[in-house]
Amino acid sequence: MADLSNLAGLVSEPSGEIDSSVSSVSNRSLRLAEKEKRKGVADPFGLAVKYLSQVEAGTVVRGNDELERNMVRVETVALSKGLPPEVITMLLDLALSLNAGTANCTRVLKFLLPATVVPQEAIVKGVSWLCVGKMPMNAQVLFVRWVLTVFDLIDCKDDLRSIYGFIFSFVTEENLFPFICHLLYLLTMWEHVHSYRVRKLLDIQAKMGRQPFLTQLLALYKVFRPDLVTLSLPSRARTGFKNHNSTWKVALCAVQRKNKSAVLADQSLSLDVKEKPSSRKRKLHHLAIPPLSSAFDSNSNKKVFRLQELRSFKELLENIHNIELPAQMGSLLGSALALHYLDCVQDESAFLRLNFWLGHSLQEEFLLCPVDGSSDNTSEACRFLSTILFTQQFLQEGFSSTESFLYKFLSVWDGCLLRPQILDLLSDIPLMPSFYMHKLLFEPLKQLYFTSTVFFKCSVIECLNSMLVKWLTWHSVSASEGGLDISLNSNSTITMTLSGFMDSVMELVRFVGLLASEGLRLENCHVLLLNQTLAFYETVCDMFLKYSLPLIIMPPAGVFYPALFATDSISVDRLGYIMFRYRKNLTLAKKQEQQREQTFHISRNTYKEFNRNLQAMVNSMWNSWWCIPGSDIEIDKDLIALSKVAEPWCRFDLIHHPALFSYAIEFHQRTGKYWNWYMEFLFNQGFDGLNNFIQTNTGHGSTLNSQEDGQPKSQP
Amino acid sequence: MCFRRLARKLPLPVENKETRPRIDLIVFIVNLLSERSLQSVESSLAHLHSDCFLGKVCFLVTDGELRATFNNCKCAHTHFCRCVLRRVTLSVSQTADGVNAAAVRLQNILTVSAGMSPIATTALYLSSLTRCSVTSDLEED
Repeated sequence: MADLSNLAGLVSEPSGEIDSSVSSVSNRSLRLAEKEKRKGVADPFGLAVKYLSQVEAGTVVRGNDELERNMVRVETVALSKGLPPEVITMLLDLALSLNAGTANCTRVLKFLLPATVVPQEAIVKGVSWLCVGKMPMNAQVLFVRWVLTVFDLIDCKDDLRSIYGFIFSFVTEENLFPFICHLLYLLTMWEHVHSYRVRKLLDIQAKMGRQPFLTQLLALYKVFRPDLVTLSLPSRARTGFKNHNSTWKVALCAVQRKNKSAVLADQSLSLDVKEKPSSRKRKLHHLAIPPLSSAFDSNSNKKVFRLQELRSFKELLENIHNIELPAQMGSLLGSALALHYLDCVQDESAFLRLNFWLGHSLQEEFLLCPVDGSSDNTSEACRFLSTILFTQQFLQEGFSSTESFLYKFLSVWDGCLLRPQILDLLSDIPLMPSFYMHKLLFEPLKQLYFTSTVFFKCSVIECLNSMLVKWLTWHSVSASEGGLDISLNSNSTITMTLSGFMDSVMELVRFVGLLASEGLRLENCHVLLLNQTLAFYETVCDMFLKYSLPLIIMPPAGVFYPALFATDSISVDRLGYIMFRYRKNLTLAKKQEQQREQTFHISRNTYKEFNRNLQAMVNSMWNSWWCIPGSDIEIDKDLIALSKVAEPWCRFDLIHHPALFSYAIEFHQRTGKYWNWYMEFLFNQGFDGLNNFIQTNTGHGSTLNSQEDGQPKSQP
Repeated sequence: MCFRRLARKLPLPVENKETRPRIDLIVFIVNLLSERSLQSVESSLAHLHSDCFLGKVCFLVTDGELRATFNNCKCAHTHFCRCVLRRVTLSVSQTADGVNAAAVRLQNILTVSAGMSPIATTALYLSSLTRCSVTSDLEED
């Protein structure tokens, strides 16, 4: 009975509120005027909502001016401020029940923009209307797309998860299939994966062929239940789920920005990712990293927490087992808190989804569409790549989708677009078997390297140096955990033995040696390039001592001699340091080989090479005799005589070397001719590398700068 | 001093043959999506002496087309496209910076081809360094 009377109350005049207030006009006119004014402002929307909530089935639509008026009122409010949750529930019900006609159904769906939150009951009701089956197909599709668009704003997804089976039943509808797949992808949890569902999906795949959305859903199923899904699926996706939110995207952004003052966000824990302004026309919105922080009143009897609601690290720790991932996985990229979660929990499904999202975005943005010249475009791309870099450095490992994107991109890159970001991303590439290195990495790099400017060459060498350091660090960390069979990062399926690892490192070092020696030739031993190369060999020379990798590779002649005869003193000093470190490494390796039966073995050629280089350097710098018969740099005596240089044989020693000559003159001007004093003076200029080299190889040197192993040499 | 000449197709007209200086580098600007462009390049290549291919020929491709080609190379000259992509190919992105960068790279190649690199390097040697010996295979593994 109470219900009927309620209904009767609803059917009564919509202006009932005004009637009741009018009755008090006679008593308090002033207060009434205020009330009237206030109500006059608030009422149109409230009235319209009330009217629309009473629209029943069978209402005439065509020519119904009142309906039209109220719709327009609600629409205006929706597009400007967004709609409160109750109104959304009501409107969704109105639209999907087709009480206001089918044309209004799509119209309402199009302006259904939430201001804060979408209550899950609305969605559940909507799905039940979908089950009734009276809606036209385009309305059904629009409804599912709308759910996908506002997915992150749904307050709680527990009810949705409990009707997973109902949603799943729609996979048989061809038109709805891609969108239902996407929705299922977002909702699936471990308990939802059953063998009958897998069978159904595989049947559909047999009929439709391999569709990207179906493959992704199956891949996610596989992550949860690998026993049920046995077919092989790619771990990276070229095409992902399309962004279905085009109809609402711009308006939703505008509404959210307006309401942003009401949104609490703890900026200290998340990177502030800027939303792009809606005024700029852009056809493809792939790069906008969706904002992660959005606050609403959290329902206390929820089972899972959304990642974007966590405000502090403490909250994360308390709820670490109940976290729900957002629909737009890309929003995790900028937030340190989200990355902490990803790192600790090592949730495979999260990584899978993130890789899919990344792969798709990178593909769409950089590979499928040409870059137009606007600086907005490039700066947005720049920011996107910087965010990926930040994430990779935070997690201390690269994503597989970034890696595959880079290989494809390198072959079409012109070496100029977004250079620092691309090179930084390149240095994050994890170890790969040596066979692939040539095909994927070296060939495109060579093409770019040899035709570009010297600064690009320097950047590439620096990038490869950084890559080598990362590989070596990874090895020294994981090798200490024992065993020769080292598997790569947790998300990769390639395992690598120690010898495979050493092969790859050797390939890389040889490649850089080639790049460096040819580059120095082409650039006339440019000082910057030489220094970058020597920085690389500073890493290489210490591979055994610092990173416990039993591999010693000497620099090629094309690098050694330009450094030895360089005209700047820094290069000469660095070379001294490098040779000093090589000697230390080789001595220790030899000692270990002799003492215990080690599994590694340094070949005789390496020792020979080192000795040759050492001889050349000591002879030039100390013995004042660089042109030894039989050495690499022997030049015919007559040719030397042609140069008409006086005393040519000592032109590269410590006094006359072009890099050090200025110091000799300065010393001579100051003090006179004392050799030991000169040595002291020279090495006080900061040439530690050279000092150590001379000390170890000739036993002479400045006593002020003692060696690393703390044995002071006495003066001869 | 560097002379640049533009030509729609080869062979160059016979009239100026005597006054023409030695040609150091031939750059083909190709639009991989346009049938006409590909046909024109293919027919011009036939007029070149085989010695030219030892480092004096270079292809310049605008990058939009290059990317699109990777995704759906439906042109009739698929095989030719792949051959083009193997030679020293410069891809130019449409920004001003990209065009500048491509110009600088062309100049570097030209310096070597003209024999003016600081330490003597032949064009053949440079082309051997930059040659892509395997076709890029973009299938996911």
